Amino acid sequence: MTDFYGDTGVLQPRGEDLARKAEERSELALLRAENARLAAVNREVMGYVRGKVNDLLGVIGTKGLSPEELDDNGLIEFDPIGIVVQTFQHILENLQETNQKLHFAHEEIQTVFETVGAGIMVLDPQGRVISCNQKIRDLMLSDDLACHGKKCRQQFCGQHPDDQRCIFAAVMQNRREQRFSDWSFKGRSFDVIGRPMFDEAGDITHVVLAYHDVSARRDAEAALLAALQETQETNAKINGILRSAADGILVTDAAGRVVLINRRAEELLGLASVEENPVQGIEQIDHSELVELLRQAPRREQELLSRDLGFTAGSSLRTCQARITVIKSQQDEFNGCITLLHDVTEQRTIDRMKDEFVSTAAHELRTPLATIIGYADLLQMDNSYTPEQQAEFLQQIQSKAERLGEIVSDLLDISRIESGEGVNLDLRPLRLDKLCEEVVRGLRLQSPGHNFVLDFPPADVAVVTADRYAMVQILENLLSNAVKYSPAGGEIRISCRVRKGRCILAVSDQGIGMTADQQERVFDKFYRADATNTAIPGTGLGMTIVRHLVEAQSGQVSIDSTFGRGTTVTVSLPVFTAPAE
Amino acid sequence: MRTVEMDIRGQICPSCLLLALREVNQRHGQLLAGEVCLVVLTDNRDAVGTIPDAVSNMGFAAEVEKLVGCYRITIQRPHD
Repeated sequence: MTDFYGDTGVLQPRGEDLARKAEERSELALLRAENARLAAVNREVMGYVRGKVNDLLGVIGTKGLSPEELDDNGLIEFDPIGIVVQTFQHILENLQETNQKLHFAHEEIQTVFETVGAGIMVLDPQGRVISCNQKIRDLMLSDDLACHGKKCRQQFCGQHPDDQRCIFAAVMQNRREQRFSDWSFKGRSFDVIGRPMFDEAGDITHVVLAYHDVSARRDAEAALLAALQETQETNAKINGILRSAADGILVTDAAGRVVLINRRAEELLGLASVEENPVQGIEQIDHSELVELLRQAPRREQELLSRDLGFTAGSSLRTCQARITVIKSQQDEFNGCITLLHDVTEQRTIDRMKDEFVSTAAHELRTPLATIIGYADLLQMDNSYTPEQQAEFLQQIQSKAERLGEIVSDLLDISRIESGEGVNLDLRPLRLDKLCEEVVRGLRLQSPGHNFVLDFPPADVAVVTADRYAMVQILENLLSNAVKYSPAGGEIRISCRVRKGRCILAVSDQGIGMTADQQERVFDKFYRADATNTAIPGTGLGMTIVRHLVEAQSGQVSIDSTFGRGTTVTVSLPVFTAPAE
Repeated sequence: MRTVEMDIRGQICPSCLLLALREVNQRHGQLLAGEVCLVVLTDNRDAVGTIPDAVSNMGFAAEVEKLVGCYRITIQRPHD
């Protein structure tokens, strides 16, 4: 055992103290070594942790953490690994969700891909088929050959060697969507859309081709086009008929707008065609009375209104019968009007002339009848008349009876002409000069106040081919007119000339003459130049009969008159030529 | 929607990214539900790239707006 104080006199530790101290030093050394080892382990662990932290930070794309920036304690406290791990958890959750969405989207696309009406094919940049749907197989493959990995050009398009019709080539060349119309394959028509798909580098990775079978649509379009064309042609025909109809046609809608008008109505109403002016209304019609009738149409109870209206067409006045029919819907609502304008000018004139004729004929028949009845009564009731007086009465009765006969004969003639029967003619060679002398002879006795001049130059003695009775009727009509309308007397000249194989016979008077309008209408039946003057007898049929008889003998009749100075009627007839023997 | 603003101006990467991610992680549920919109103010240019990238991988929309002296990054649920 060691003495605590030793030989030096200094207090020496005892041997057991020394041993304890040595043991303590040894333990301390052990602890220090352990501590150094733990510090080394700690440094190694922290280095590892920092390395992993920096790896994780690198993965999320940011810089590493330096010890200067955050010491080890700060690092443990801040827990970047925990932050990044939690972030990764969230990223993974998001990826899972995204994957699920992508899966559903893929399912959707696959369903659309297989069920869509179009044939869809996906090609790689070399034109090899990556995928295609059932529609492509149905439309383009004759049997269920596998086409994956095969070039679509060889598989499908043997019939289109021209690259202009290869949509894949067009997409690859232009690097953007391409559309082909009327691409045909196996007798069917397709509208084709080709669209490229690019990678991040901008290179084409796929080309998607969609084929829409438009054969049925094309056929339907062609049929529709044909039907449309037919409808247009029919419309054009109907329009043509309406446009060229002799009657004016005007159709207006409920608002009074013109929806249809033909050419005649345009002329009469001063409107433009619907094509020229699609927005014209009834207020633009140049006829106040018709405008008023159309305005009242919605309120009128009867559906048809007929009214004669006067119109100015060009320089002439026309009478038109306006027939306005109201168009009504099934619900009885006013939908517009159809107006027909039928030109009744001639009809109304004839009606008026007929009325005048009835009046004239009554007068013409009554006058000789009154004379006949008067003289017959005298002869019956009184025997005191001398034989000379009785003879005169009888002569008057005969004369008036003859006049009645003439009127009846005229009426029968015009009736035959009207019915198209014509008159029976016995055409023979006839010397006009002799016939004229014969007729004039009788007239000279009846009208001694007139001076009848026969102008038949010997060189122009004419033989015409004519019916004797008809020629007498013609001459009597012309000469009696000359007498009637030369009330003050004067010269009545009958002249005859032969020109170019025709005999021109003219009857001229110095009477009251006619206006241009009267001349125009003188051959109309029942027309009398001055119908108001009942003192001048006549039925208005004479000149109508004359023209008919002249024309029936291959002749022509014309009239030349000056109002107040006289009239010349010229009859041209073919000169008789003896048949060659 | 409530806006939560965190100002990490003065921080540099990766601290600003980690701070932003920690906030996003803490408010992940609220952000997903569209209850919260997180606005991060930073003057670190790198963060303008890293924060939007990281949050968009988590499924959020990030919009960067340049202000005077800093950037504003708005993080929220993407529009449907």
